[in-house]
Amino acid sequence: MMHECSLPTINPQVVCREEFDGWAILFDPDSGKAFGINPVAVRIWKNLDGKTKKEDILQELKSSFSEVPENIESDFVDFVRDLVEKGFAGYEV
Amino acid sequence: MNPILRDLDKLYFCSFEKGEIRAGDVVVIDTGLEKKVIHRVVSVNERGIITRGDNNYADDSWTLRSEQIAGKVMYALRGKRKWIVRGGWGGQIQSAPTIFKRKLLWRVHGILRPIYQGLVTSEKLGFISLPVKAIALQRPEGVELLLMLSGHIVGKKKTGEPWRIKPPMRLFLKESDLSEIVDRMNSLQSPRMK
Amino acid sequence: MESTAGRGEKIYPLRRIYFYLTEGCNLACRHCWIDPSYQHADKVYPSLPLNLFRSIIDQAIPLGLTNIKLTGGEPFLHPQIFEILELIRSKKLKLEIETNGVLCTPELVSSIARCEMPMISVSIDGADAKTHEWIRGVPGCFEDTLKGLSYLVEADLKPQIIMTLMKKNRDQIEKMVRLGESMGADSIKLNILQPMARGDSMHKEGEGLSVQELMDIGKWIEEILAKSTSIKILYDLPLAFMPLSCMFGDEGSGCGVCKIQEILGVLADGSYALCGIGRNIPELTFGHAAYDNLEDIWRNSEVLRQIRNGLPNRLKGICGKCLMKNICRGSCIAQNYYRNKDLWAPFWYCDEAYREGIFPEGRYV
Repeated sequence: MMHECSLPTINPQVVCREEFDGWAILFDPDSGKAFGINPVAVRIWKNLDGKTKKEDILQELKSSFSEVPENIESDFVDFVRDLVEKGFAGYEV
Repeated sequence: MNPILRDLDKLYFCSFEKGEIRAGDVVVIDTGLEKKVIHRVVSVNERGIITRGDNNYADDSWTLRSEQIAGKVMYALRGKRKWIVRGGWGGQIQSAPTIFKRKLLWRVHGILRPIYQGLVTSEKLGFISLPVKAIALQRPEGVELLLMLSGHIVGKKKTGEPWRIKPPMRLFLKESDLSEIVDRMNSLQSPRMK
Repeated sequence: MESTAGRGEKIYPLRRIYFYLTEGCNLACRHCWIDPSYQHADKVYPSLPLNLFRSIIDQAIPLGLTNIKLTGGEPFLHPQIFEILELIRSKKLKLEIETNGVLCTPELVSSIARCEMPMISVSIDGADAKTHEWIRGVPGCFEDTLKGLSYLVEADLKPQIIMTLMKKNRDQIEKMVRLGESMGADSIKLNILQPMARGDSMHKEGEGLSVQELMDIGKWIEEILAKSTSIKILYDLPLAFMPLSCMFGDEGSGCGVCKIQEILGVLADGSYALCGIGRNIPELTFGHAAYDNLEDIWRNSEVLRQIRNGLPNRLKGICGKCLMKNICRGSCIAQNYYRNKDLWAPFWYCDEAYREGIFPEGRYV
């Protein structure tokens, strides 16, 4: 299962609208679906380019946010899986 | 109204209470339907107001009364960039390159379309190899493939449907490359992606 | 979570039933959106028969029922409220109650406390007797409500105070928070005055607050009031006007997230309805518990099917453009229908905000 070890890339059709409090709405004009993501997730979203490695993104999160929880890695994996399941991100083939 | 205005741009408009409607103005049209239409005024005459989208090949089918114009677009905001949407003569100048391009494309299109259709149906395609890549997206009805070239979407393939490639890109893509992408997707997708 | 039926249609579980137990109410609130009859010593109005209540529950559990809301009128006016609570307890259903608290007694409270995860809300619309009783229409009810609230606090039921905002009480929000703190309430929910039934008359008489005023209050609550108290404040604006953290965050209350597709209302006369609105709009009732099979109503009612198939994509106006439409689902379909006779009409508050140019820009396309 190649997708278990590589990161997806964002769906280029999805619009990311950042709000004043650092949260953002991801909106897929194709499906009409939208959902909100917190500032940490916004940072992850911006790094999902299919090239940046998971370790590098996690490192950036740890250095950018003051209170990063210990289980950040599992949260990261859950978030990325959620994006893929919603069609907001996909894998390069 | 692409490229001056695009989907998701935020528009600032004001009513015409203190000014007259002129050819070149970008106006918000209240069609009485759910969606308002943003088009440019082509001419104003005694019968009414004629409008057209900068990219459209023909004038809109309606002739409008001034009360059907909800306002004139003054500014647009895309991301953090805000710019003035010109009206009147300024608007005509601002839209001139788009209109010129549209007319040129219309003519070229008329000449090339039969040739293009002939090539596409004869499958003698793939003059050069392009560095395209595909992204597989999970959709309720199955996997959708987005064909990307230098960060731009040049084609799509939904489950059970053929590729839809933006012209003229189909000329540069080999059928074997497109089939290979589908094969790769089928062999590599995880159970979640099925 | 929903599954798919053989004919390809989704099967929605019936998770929640809202029981509007009594046709009468012991208070006569100026803003009530249900408009029940005023019940007093000389005049008693009908209540939902216990055998119908039992039959509905028995039919609903196989359809997925997990939650019951008891409301009214006034649920504690029901002559067999103890039997109703016992039935809910025995079926292990989660219980929610909306009450004015006036008839709350220690015996009733202990009966509620035996139920599964009871969540009880007490309506208080003024921080003093004068304001509360002006709104609620019955002298002396303020003291009775506070006494009822205190019984709930003593039983550790963590009651919520619900306050409906209007011109008359807009300056009492902070006092209400302090009252809630001193009484030991768990949270305060601030509702906007809905222009339905009596609330509609209040709006027309100019007793409601404007969209801009309500937005300003929201900002003040978020930036100042919420930081000055440990009590939770839930401000019930449509989702487009709320921070994303409220809807998607770990600490979000889920406030305003509409679950219309898994709810059914039951009126005091035994009619099935979209919600309490059925009392005022007969076309939003779908049959009667005495004659109709609940599963048949739930699966095949034309209105319910229209709502399931149409939400959120058929929503019109600003609700159709809103990025929150998948979770907000038009905020209140019943209200939208009441005002426009159209299930897909936009929610009045969002529509007004959009027309006034103050709908949050980033929240629609």
